[in-house]
Amino acid sequence: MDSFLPCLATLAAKSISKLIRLSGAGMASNLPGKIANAICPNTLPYFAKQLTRGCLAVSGTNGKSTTSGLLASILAQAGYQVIHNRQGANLIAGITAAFTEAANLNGSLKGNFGLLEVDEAALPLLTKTVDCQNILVTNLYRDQLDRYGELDKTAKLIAQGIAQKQSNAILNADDPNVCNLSCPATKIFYGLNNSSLNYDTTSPVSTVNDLSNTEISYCPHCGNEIYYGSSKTLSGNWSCLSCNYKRPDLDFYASNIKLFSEHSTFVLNDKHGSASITLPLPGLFNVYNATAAGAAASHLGVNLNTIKTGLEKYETLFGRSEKVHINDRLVVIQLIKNPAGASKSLASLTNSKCAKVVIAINDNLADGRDISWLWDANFEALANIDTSFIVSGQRAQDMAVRLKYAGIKSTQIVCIPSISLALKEALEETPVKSTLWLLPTYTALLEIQRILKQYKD
Amino acid sequence: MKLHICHLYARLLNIYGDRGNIIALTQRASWRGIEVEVRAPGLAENLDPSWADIYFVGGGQDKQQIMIAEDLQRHADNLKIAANDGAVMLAVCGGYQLFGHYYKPHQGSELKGISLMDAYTVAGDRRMIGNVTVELPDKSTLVGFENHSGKTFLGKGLSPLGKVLKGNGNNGEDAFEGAHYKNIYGTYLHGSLLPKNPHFADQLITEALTRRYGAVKLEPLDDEIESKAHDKARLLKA
Repeated sequence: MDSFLPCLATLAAKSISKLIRLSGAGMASNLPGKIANAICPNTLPYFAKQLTRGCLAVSGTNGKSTTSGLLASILAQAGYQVIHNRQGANLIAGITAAFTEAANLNGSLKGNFGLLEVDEAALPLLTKTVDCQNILVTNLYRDQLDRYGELDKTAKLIAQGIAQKQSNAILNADDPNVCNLSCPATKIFYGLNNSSLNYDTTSPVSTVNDLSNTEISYCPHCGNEIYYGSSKTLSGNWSCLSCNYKRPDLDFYASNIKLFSEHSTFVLNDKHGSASITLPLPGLFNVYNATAAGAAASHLGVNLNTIKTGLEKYETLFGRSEKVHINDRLVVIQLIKNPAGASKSLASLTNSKCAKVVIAINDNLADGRDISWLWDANFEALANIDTSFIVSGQRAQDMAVRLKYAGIKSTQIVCIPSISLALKEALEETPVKSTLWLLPTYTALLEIQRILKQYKD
Repeated sequence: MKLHICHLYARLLNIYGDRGNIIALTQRASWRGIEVEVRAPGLAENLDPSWADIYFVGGGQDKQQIMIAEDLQRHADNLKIAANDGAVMLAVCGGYQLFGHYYKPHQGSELKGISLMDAYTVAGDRRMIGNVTVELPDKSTLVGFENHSGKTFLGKGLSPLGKVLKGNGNNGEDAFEGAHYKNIYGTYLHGSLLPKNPHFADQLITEALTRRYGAVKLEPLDDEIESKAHDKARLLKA
């Protein structure tokens, strides 16, 4: 392919990116990619062809960013030069921008492996032009249904993305809808082996089944409800009682899982052996993310020792269980965007010591314009926390109603729609050396990121 | 006093915060000292038509919708008896469609409803997604969010729930939303509907308790938080 247009596109993208940074308008994650694609629609395939060690896409509703972050950390240990859209800009423009960012002006690429976090609907668009040898799917929850219609449609988009270039699929076996994705090439299944799950009794943490009130799985074959083993234990080992569809055998799995308030420990097992892991992230959902990353790395040929090092050295992404220190206060930031993820975050919050909570709900397109999911998330978990809650963002008023009906007293609910004012008030009211929790939707998170930067500087 | 709520197919039709409607009814009754019991019969389970004061049915995904459509036929007679006896019923989105005569998809066979209301639904070409404001006959408003491609049309004798001030409503053509017959209400509005439309939630509770206990006047509640969410939603773009 002629390199003139891709080079020009790269130059334009890099210049815009620099301008955006200089102007302080925020992270340049999408616009440079849009401009590059406008100049040369072939920018993305042009660069992707140069990836000598191949390309892996991570898709699914929850955990894409953390899973690909963990995998990037492992692959760095394994000597890969990874190109990764780590800012979570997971549409075609954002992915293109990650490549122009990593390209030289002569059109060569500073990297040999593409690790691409991809929005579910963008996956078929990506694989139309880019040959992703492997595609990892984290899970399929209800998320932003106003955008895609419904879950079955999302599953179809992902299956189409997998089929187009006959990619291998690395699939979460504990999610019946992910298992059911058709894949003409190799399927690798990962999951949790629940036979020996222990909880640290000093900090009891939620199990998958705590979500059973709000997040129910249906059998992708016959439509009936899926059974997840006994209600007392964590279990990804599901089966359909009506049609005998059940979880496939696992190629890669986590066992001996122990969850603590700040971290978790578990054993990862592949067909060669096992390794004990101490993951610097709380919550069962992060055990899943780590298992997914481990399964993908193992499939690429990375050994368990290297996987262990990569996972243990992982540094948190912004807004995914991230912790920052501001004015001698600990600020924990956890993105919330759908019922399943939000309920898990709320469970971690109730298990930790926190002095103050801000919940910031926006309803822009990237957040999902339909906020009815707030009613499917378990905010009732907050009812026994003795603090006041600041609700903020474009839909602060709706969040206030949700908290009131979750059993929180009206006097404990403070409505400050401006996110910057809400943060200011929350930081003032958080005592020194105490913890402030922030639970924002996606665009609220971007706003928080800009505001907190001013506090840090 | 005790309020009996029957949440039909709670585990299969639960996609757009339907649970919020049950939470709103439950809380608004309990804040007034009224005891509440919720039952949630699922597929193949039986339904006692004399038990419930309020029936609620929500929306689901296509596959679940088809499953319950068939099962719902078992309850058609009982629900008609209850409806004629003045039981309160609220059906949202998919549930609303099934309260009519049928849903006709682009391809494949018709999904039969239970004809509680003289309405029918046909598959449309575009999805109607966005914020909605509806004006009720008493000039109060309902706010919510719609997400449907089915277009619902009402028979001559059936009143709509209200006029569309913003959004699409029943079919995006006649500027009406929902349907109202006896104490049965059908609507496309979720969001959830009842928490930020407390006057409507109270209307349902009042009608339900009046049927069982004779004229009931509910104690007023402090609805400042709900009113603010309602007013904010009225200002949103469709």
